[in-house]
Amino acid sequence: MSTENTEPRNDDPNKLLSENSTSEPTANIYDDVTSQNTASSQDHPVYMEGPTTSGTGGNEPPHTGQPWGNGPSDGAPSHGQPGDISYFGRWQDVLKLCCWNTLWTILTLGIFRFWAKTRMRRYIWSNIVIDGDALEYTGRGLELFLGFVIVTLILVPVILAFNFIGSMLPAHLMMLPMIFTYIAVAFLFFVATYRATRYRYSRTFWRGIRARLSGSAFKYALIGFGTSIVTLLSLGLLAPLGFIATTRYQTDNTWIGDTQARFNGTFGAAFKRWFKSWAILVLVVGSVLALSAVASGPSMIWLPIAAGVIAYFGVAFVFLNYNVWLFRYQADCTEMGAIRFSSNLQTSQYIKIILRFLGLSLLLLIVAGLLMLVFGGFAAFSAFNPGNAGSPQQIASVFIPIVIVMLLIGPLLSIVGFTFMIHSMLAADISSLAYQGEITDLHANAEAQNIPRTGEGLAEAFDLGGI
Amino acid sequence: MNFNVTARYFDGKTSAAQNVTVIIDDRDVLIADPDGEICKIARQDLLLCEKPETNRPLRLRRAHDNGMRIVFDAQDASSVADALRHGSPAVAVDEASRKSMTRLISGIVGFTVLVGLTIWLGVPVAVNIVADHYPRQSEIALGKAGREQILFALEQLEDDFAVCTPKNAAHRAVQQIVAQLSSSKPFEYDYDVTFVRSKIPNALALPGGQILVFSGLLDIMESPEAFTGVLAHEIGHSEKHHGLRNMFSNIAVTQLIRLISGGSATVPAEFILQQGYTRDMEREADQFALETMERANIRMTDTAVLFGKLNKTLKDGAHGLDLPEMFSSHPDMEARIAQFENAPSTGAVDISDQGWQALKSACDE
Repeated sequence: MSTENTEPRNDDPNKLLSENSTSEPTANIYDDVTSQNTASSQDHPVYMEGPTTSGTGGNEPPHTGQPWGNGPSDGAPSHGQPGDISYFGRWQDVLKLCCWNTLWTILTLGIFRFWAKTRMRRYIWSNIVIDGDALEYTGRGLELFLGFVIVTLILVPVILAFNFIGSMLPAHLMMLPMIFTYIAVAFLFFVATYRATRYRYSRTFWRGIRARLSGSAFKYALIGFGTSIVTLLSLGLLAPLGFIATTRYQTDNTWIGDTQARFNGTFGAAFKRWFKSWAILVLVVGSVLALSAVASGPSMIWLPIAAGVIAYFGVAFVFLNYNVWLFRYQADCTEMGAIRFSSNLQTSQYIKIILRFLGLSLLLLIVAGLLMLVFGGFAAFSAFNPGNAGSPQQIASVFIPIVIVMLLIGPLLSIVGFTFMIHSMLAADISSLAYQGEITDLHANAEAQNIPRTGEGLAEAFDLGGI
Repeated sequence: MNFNVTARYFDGKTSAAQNVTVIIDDRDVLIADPDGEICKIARQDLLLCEKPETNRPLRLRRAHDNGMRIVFDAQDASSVADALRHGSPAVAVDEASRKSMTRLISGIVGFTVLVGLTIWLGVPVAVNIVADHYPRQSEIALGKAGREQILFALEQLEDDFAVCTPKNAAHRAVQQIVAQLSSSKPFEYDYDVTFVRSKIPNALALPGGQILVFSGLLDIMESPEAFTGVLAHEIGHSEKHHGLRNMFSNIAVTQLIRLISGGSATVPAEFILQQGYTRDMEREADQFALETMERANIRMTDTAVLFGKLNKTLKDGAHGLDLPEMFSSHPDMEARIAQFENAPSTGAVDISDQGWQALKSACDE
């Protein structure tokens, strides 16, 4: 099933953001969806049976897409009506939360970051709305912190012991522990990712039912690590193998209550698409190398440079395009009980987000540069006036603004990066999703659920950022 | 004051909702289903699922989460939020109540203090153990590599910097002095002194017996005994493995800070170490110099004079930021000079005048 031909829906995240920010900042967008899912919006909604209330009524709310399969003219609510997965997070809220989180994190020398992450997740989860009810994140900062402390207590002596052993070995063997460390870190990266996902799932609820990731992090790491080596040996040609294998393992171990997810993507389909991208990549890199070999001589030096720049953007586009396709493919191939998913994510959405982020970063850097110029530059002028040269206070008046700007620029860029890149992409991803099929009642899994008590320690130690 | 409102109730066992009436009073929240059955939950056992926002549904759960959820419709959300948040005890988002915030802040402060204590008390002990068990051959190799790196760095910093090539007599003189110092108690390392041309009056000890002496220091030395004092001090650093200890402390503190801050804050470890470790090491090296010279019966007044000169240079600030390493962390310079002044030994260094001249002019063209 291809989503290439699907009409683009009007839930473009950029539009979503701009609409929220300009037109009606206090508009009850959430309510629209709630009432959409409510048979009679004046009564208090009764959600005895999810799907019976999930009709797309005549008053089409602004952020729900054209239904997948059936036209909107159907009107009448019925079982199995397609539905959207909507995201209502606003960049203004995220920016505000991000600023507070950054401030507190700096003030506490970084320790607050566990609580900051929790606050952000709580916000994001509570804005992902499926069939009128939002997801819910119940994790706690303390759990993340404890997980981190436990892993630190284990990891630090191991790292120190490795360093010590490395320094004891004869010179020609000194590389051994380092190589071993790199391999171990690459392997543990997969373990950490899986464990972090398990923690996040275990703290995710929908309508009071807990999600769960079963399976073994070690097995997942074996699959991920093994396929990475195969990818490396095949010079990237077999890259989809890793994606398909790890996604299948993870999806097939994903549960909400007693309902299990299933991934039926195949290597063949992904490879067919990837092979084109890979061939273009090889062709582009090859021709740039050939060009730089031919164009020797000072007058021709611009040619390989220009070709390199064009090639860089070309390669970036090819990768982006492939990854967007992969996201759609993953959605298409995922089932959850009787529910099937689909996505209409477009590369152009990502490109817009990236361009906007680059523009904002540039603006930020220009403003920072101007500030430095105005404050530092003015002070420099007065400091190095003839006959007035160089008292410590004057030198400080030059350097202090520069230092302040330099200290601020890092956190500011990371705030902009999160708000306008990571969050925007996430919004685009989620809003692009739709489901088809009947949402039946989920039941909590009564068995011992293997719920992790602490969170993400290993992932925290590796600083696997993101959300 | 009672507050009545309808809501959807999820029991945590299935995703199906029940229509219920919720009564919020001062102490409890009562839930009545259509059959009239009532379940009572104390306010302190409830949490808001997320921060209440206008036009968003409001959700409640138990503090000990069993999946139970009470969802209030968006239009009731703000009045319900008011009723819940303004009673006593107030219902808050997890970890956002005043009590939790107080706990969180005191926890973070406590943890920071704990890590501070670890750096202050734990790291030196651990570092000493590692330094004492570090293989000597590796330490010597480390010192040689370190010397090359420092020479390279200094070359970039100072224009007329150069490694000097003193006459053989100078090398012999150094070996004689080392032999005299170690006559009653042998040193752990073979000492290799490198003379470098630099205006900075300084001397450095690297791990494994590598010592650098700057010509700026040679220039203000009046006698071989003053040189011996400096040499003994630097040998003290080597014998006590200060280079290694410094390196390991740096690694440990940097890694600890990186871990706590998640890699975001890179406070230079030297800045923290400067406050304690370095000063203790200088004191230890002084003590070593005093004891060694006393055993070898070499007078220390000349060293005291040299230190006095350096102290004056330091106070005059002629060299600006070029503080010699061996003095930079000494607030108690006067006491230090007095120690050398009051030392009882009166003997001289056993080298020829020709040897001393060769030493003194090691960096002359």
